[in-house]
Amino acid sequence: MQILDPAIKKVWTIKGAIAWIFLLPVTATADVILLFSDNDTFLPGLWTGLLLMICFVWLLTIPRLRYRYWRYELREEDLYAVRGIWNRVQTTVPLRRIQHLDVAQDLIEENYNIARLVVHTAGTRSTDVVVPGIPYEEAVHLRDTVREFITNYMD
Amino acid sequence: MEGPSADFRRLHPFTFVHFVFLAIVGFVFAGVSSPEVGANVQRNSLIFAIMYATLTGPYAIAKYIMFRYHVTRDEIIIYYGVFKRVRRNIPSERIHTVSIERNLLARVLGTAAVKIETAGTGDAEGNLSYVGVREAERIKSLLRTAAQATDATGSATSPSFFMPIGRLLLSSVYQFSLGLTALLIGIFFQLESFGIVQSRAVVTWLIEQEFFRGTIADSWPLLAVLSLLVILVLGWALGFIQNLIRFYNFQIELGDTKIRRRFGLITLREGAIPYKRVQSFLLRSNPLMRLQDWYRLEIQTLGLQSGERGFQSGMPFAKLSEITTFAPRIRPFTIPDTYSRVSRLTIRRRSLRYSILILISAMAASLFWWPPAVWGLALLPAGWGFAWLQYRYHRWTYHAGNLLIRRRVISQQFWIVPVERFQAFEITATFFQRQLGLCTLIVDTAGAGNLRYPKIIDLRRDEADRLLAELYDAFQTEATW
Repeated sequence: MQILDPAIKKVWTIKGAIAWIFLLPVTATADVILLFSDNDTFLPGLWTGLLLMICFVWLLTIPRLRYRYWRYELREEDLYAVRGIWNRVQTTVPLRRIQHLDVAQDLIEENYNIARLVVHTAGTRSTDVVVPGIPYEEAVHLRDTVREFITNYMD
Repeated sequence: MEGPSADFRRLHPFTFVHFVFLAIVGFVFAGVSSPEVGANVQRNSLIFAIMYATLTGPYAIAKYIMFRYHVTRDEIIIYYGVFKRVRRNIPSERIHTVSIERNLLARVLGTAAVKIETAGTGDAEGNLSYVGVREAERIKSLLRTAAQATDATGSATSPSFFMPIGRLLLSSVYQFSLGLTALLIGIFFQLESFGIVQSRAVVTWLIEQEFFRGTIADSWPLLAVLSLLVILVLGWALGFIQNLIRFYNFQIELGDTKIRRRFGLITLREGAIPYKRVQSFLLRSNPLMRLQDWYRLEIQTLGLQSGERGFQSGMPFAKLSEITTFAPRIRPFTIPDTYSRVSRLTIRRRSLRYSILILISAMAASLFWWPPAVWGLALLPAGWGFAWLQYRYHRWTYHAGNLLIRRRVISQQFWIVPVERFQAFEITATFFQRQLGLCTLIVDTAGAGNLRYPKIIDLRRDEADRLLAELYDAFQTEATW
């Protein structure tokens, strides 16, 4: 079984931080309103502080745990992936069921030279199986291997 | 791009009437559902109506002018688009379904919508809304003839299933529509805000009757029971009407390669489902239906009507013996006598889940209704009983190339999934399942809903691995590209 590139932890941390930042204006506004109101119950900056604390704990633990439980393997006739912290999911996608394949990379991933292999099937739940954190060259190699299998199978 | 020649036809001019009708319905709905009342609503609705007509009216006219189609025995060509011109050629041999739909307005106007579907997409690839009825029949006949010419097996029909009015009425008795009830209650409250209906006066009158003998505060439990009864009766009546309208004159014919269906009272639906698009069968029932051995057969297909989320009515109301005679002709299966159960530990896991839910709800309720909320704890044994029933009704077996799964207590589902239709395999295990050595086996198929799909919940882990290996081996042998 393959593990992901350790750089994925940094990518998930950066993406997580960006997502949490969007909540910051909400808590900051609430704190400013509380600061100028007759409020004796809440400490000034309580909500922003709480948010930053949760954000810090989240960023410190979740990417590491996600990384620890992510495994994948391209086997002879299927792609096998295991992931999940709370809900452990183990997916087997027969290669002959793959409709098309993508190697995707955003700016952050590009910076760390990693990519996602996106496998599309006609299914409902596993329409898109995404394997993140694969070194770019490896992702391209995987894509080509699967494509070759599909071409040979069709012939 | 080459433009349409003189052979190309336009849609029926009454297409505009449909557009105007839809716009009027939209305005009325916007007005009724507006939180504002009185003159403001009327003024805002009028402004909105003028803006809508000004912006979309010319676009609708341009869309109509630019839309042309031409049908031959070999293909249908459609030109459309105002800002971006598109020419779409759909070869006859690729066409899987040509369906004609006529809603009430279309029937009054003598028009019909023709929907052409291919294997490529879930939605209709060609949509001619609207053409004249004769023109719709001509298009369907032309394309069907062409498709038959390419299909050596032809499409001779065999004995069909027909739902007579007596059975339709009986099937409607078992229906209940919570969604329509909620919608009707919402409209009722809006009408009340306009002063058109006055529920307060009705309630006051009821309270003044001998039956209640008291004020609203004294009689609130009775009022609550009465309201619940009204909702139940209303839900049942609406379910009855909805079922009657939907499945009126339901008939289905099995050809050599396609299932042909025709049904509907207000909107007449007519179309065909190719056998190769059938992914699985789902038999649905509820405790009352099961008492009389009644079931509803749904056919899960690849795409087709998005409104039906991939599930098409095969037999809306039939005895199990009728279904087991009819459906295997589409894709062979037999119903075995013996099934395996899931792990008994499922009772413990589900009981724990319901207990937590009931305790949290009771604690939340006690903040407002202390001490009556404590009575909510009386629901705990009911939760445990329900967990036991879920265990009792959840069974599965792999038999003759099909995975058969029975689950749920009230709205029971019985899945028949051919192994060659599997798309992917999944084993999931939540934290609680892992503590008990349990997991859920899911087989993914094309066209299933996001909430409705075949799964076996709380299998022992070793049993799940063994079943997955068996299914995967069978899949490797049976499944084609």
